[in-house]
Amino acid sequence: MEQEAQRRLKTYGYNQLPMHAFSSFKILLRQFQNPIFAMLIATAVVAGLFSQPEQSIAIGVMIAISVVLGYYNEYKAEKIVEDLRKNVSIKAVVKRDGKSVQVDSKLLVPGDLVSVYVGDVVPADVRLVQSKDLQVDEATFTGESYPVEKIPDAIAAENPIPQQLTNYLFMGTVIVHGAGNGVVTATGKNTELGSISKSLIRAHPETEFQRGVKKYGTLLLSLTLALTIGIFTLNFALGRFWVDALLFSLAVAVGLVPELMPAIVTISLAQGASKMAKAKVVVKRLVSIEDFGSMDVLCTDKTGTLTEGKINLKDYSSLDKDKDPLVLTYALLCNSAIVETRTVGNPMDVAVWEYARRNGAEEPLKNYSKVDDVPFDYHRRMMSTIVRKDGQSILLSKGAPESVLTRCTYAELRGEKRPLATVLDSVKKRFSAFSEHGYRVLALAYANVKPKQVYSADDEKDLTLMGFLVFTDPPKSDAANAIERLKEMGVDVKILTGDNELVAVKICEELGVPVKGVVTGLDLVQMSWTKIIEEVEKASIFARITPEQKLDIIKALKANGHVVGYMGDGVNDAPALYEADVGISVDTAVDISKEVADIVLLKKDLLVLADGINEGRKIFGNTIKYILMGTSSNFGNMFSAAAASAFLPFLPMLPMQILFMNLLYDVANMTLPTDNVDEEYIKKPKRWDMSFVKKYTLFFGPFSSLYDFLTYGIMLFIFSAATNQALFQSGWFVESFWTEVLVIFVIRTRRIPFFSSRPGKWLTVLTLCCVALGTIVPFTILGGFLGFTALPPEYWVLLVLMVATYLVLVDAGKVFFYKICKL
Amino acid sequence: MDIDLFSWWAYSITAGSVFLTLVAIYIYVRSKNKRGQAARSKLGPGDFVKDFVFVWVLLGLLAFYIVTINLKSPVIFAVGNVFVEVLLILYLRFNKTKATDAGES
Repeated sequence: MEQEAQRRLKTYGYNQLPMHAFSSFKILLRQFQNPIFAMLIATAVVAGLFSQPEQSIAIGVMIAISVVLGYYNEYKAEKIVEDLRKNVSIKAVVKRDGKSVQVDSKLLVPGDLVSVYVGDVVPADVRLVQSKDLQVDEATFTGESYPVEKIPDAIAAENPIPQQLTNYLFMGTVIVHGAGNGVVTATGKNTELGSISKSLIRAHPETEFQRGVKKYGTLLLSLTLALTIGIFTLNFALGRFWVDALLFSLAVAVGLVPELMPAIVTISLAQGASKMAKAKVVVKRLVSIEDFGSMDVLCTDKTGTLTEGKINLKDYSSLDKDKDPLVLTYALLCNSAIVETRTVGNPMDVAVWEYARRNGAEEPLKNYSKVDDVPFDYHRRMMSTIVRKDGQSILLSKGAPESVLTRCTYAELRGEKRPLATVLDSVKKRFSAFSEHGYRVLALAYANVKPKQVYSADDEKDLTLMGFLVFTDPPKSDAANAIERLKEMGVDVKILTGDNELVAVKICEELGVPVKGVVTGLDLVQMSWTKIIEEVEKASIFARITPEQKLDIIKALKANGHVVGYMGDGVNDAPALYEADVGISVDTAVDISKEVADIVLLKKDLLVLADGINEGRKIFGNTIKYILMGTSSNFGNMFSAAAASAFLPFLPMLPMQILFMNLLYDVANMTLPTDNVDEEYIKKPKRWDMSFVKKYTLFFGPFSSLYDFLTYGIMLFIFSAATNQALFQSGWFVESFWTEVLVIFVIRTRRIPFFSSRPGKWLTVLTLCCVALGTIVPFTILGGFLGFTALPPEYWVLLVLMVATYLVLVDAGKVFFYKICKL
Repeated sequence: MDIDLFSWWAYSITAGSVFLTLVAIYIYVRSKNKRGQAARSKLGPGDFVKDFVFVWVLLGLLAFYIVTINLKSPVIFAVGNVFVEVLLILYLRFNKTKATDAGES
């Protein structure tokens, strides 16, 4: 059987959609989609066409090196992510060699017999063989927002459309209720989803970081365009050969744009993702890492974060005695857990079954036959099961006490049925007492009903309250520490729970977690949107809320300018996970939650999350360093090149020289993602602030220009280079490169460089190597080819002193700048 | 040729320094306005002088560079740079704590 599965796997391929494929060709193609490469290629062609073959070859070589660098790094990054994704594989229950086993869903083949349960993402196209109250959400597939019932019966329609195939389950749809077995009919690209997969990919909304990078790109593009046109016009007007003018203006433009930025960002993210994986945080969507670091509000449920997440049945009491066996029997009958090879489903229903199995309490069930179910939904907050015993139909309801009580008319006390009103106060007190002790409580009620085939929620009326099911979920010992740590990191934790407020408050009190305010689902219903926006800031616990209200809370927090994370693991958490800036799920979550989440924790623990946030902030910090460097020193240098071209009798630097400097600069920055980040920088969430980037450019750009002008002065008037083009260009090349690259040691920290903030080892080594290379180039054959000449020894002395003054002056400017512009 | 080129150079580097000073003033004023009337009224002329130390150094350096380049003296240029570096390093050491704190907003 297993051998046959292997054979079919070879024939049909892996059960995965083409959109998940990892293509090295696509990565290579992506390198050329950068507009800068188009500019570089244009520059090479223009040079080649107008008898400057050496320039053309040099530019071609630089293009090749840049492509190889970009490709290598992006390939490495994608490979890391691909490997990480494997940690969060979707599993399928399949019969192999007569046994039910869990396999990675990508290993499914046509002919496999699979089982699906509530919360599962259907792993392939499946013809149903057996079903049990099976309802499927096909919204991503058909657009139908209501769950569709699936039954194995044959259908009569000829050439049915997928919506008519009620005996089929389609890959990618979600089981929202019940369970079923079926035979896999198609896998991977042969499934219905595979044939239309591209149109079905629901793009994630852009992250704040992506929006920021886009704005930054637009700013650079406008600067580059203006400068290119300006330089070309000016040089052409000054009577320079138009090809020289064009090449020079294009080279300055290329020098301005950080063409390796996509590679640098991807390396940062991939290396961060790799580190985070060691901290048991698996990143599914790389770009979400920066938002993870920027996150300042985390919404989470309490199960598994504030509590251990191990729900146990503590008591099953009627209104007059504890541990009433009939209450337990009714709880087993009115139960949505799927009890087969494994018990799955709602944790409280599972807890009831586990208790009954441990204590051999299943025996009475044989006296009942099940007739129908009215499944649970988040609006009624209850479920019902209709059973028959001794010819009598009984409707059993179980759910949130507030919901069940509103449908009760009677209560059973000491075997007698009496009006609920006579015992309501004592019932409420008992319920409150349970809640105040931190127990989770469900109410159980019944009604004798007339026999019929199908029942609905309308039949849940005139019920008789029978008792309570009491569950424990012990508080987590380290939860208070974790919340405190997150608070120190500037992340406000809000608890979003379906439980009542008393339980949530009690657990918080036990843990010593401060409760700022409590808002219930009922309160939210009565609030206007403006009021919700106001209240979400004040409250720290949201109790008894529906999945839609979770979404409202997240939207309101986002409207208030927060970067919101949402941690959840249930079927009902999927919309909130999608809406949040960062959707966080756990490895034990239902498939759909893992599928939509950006980040999956291998351990549901807030401390694990805190480590991940730290990593996200480091990545954000290092990416910002690159951007700030690019927009300040780079911009300053290119601006001085443009200005000098207007007054010098020759070009201040040849296009080839500018491109060579740019390449060396890019190489020097390749290790920036490994740099250390100051402790205080990662203490608080950081946001992308375009106005800060603009101010930074405006302020630090001129520093670099000033020292370029100073170099012009030294070269022209001390070393008489006005008539020696190669000497001038060599002098300025070295100064420009030194200042451009070495300034990273000043910009990378707000502290005093080296003394109170050490740069990363690899950044230091590679930067110094590149500086050394840039320094010796004028003395080499390559230097001769690029148009450089050896510089006099006195120049090196002046250069060292001048660059040292520049770096110290920038540092002094930094003190002024950060004092004024607090980021 | 030399004189023309020198004038151009001197004008350019002066324009660059003036531009940087204006940017610093612009950022300073904008920031103070953002922080409101209370912050503005607390400011005395002493604060302005202190906050703009790097600008004074910059303008001093500008004058020094123009003079030394005009004198074509690498020795004075080298000595002047060393002197300014020492001054700035002392200033930075003195402002170390404040600078770090400022970043921790």
